[in-house]
Amino acid sequence: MSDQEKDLVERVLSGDTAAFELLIAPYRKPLLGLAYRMSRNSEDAREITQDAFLRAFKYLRNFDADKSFKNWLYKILVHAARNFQNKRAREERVLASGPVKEAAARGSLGPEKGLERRELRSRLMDCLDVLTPREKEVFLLRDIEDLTIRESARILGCSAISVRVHLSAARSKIRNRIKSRHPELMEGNK
Amino acid sequence: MNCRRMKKYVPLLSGGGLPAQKGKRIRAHFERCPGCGQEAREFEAALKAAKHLAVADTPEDWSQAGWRKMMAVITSEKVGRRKVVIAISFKPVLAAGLALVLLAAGAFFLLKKPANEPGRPSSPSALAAAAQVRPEEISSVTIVSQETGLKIIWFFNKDLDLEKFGK
Repeated sequence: MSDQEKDLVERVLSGDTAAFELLIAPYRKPLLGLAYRMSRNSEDAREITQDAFLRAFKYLRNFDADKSFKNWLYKILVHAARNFQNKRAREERVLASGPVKEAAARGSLGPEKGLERRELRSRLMDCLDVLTPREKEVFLLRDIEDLTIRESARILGCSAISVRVHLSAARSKIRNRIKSRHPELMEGNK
Repeated sequence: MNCRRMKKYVPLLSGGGLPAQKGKRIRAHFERCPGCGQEAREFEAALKAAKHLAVADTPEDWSQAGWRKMMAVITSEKVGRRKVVIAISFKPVLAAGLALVLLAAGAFFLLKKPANEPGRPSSPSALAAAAQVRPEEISSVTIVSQETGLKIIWFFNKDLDLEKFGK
């Protein structure tokens, strides 16, 4: 944790709430991006990130200044995303029996525009679809967010060995999926 | 290192995640085995492609007004007090309690003297009195179990036959 961050945390805790925005500003886009890849939807991603920022603000006093603020925020976000997805799954189970199912499904797609972007998104989601929730978390943190294995393990609350095992499985599945469904992507990156 | 073991390591090597020493050994194998090298290159290409997709597809950010509004909502909350948690871990307490109970039970069984069965003589003199012979004519062998404390006494008469006591 940098001295500047320590200073900002102190300021927030002493009542200067405006300092909180400065504290989280560098993480706004990375956290939103991670939430987006976990939730597959811009609106949901904003909701998850907002929830994570709110929790970070409320529990800032519990943050250990000797540890990484970034990892702490990521940990909060991963928990917020899990809670959100559990809540969404419960809602969908309830809605699945009623006539509002179609409308809810339409709503969860989000208002993204542009054919190219939709195409990119559908390819990424197609790749991530083959992963289990834990493999997805590990893959996103390690390979997309470029965190180390140890950082990923701390954020997910598991051992480094567990991260390695899930990462290996996730990479194998992603490679097989890209090779079988989107081989043109691999050609461009060889 | 053979190709079968290599399959296990290739996914971790490609995107990083293996210790340097192991990585070196695996790369040395690639020089000898083009098949494994090809597989590693495929992994690298697939990971690059996945990363490219992820980076290219960015979510819609908050509008400036939306961000300000959200910050206002968040900072209107109170920063929570630090939770004072008295960390009592029950596992060690339970383990200590269990150990204490086991120790007490062990001590009880080890130190407890086995009660003599009523009516059974436990010494040669008592047996002699019961059998109406002189005590010198009776000898005994006592075996005590160190584990359970069980005591077995064998009485012999002057002909070294096992003596029946009582009536």
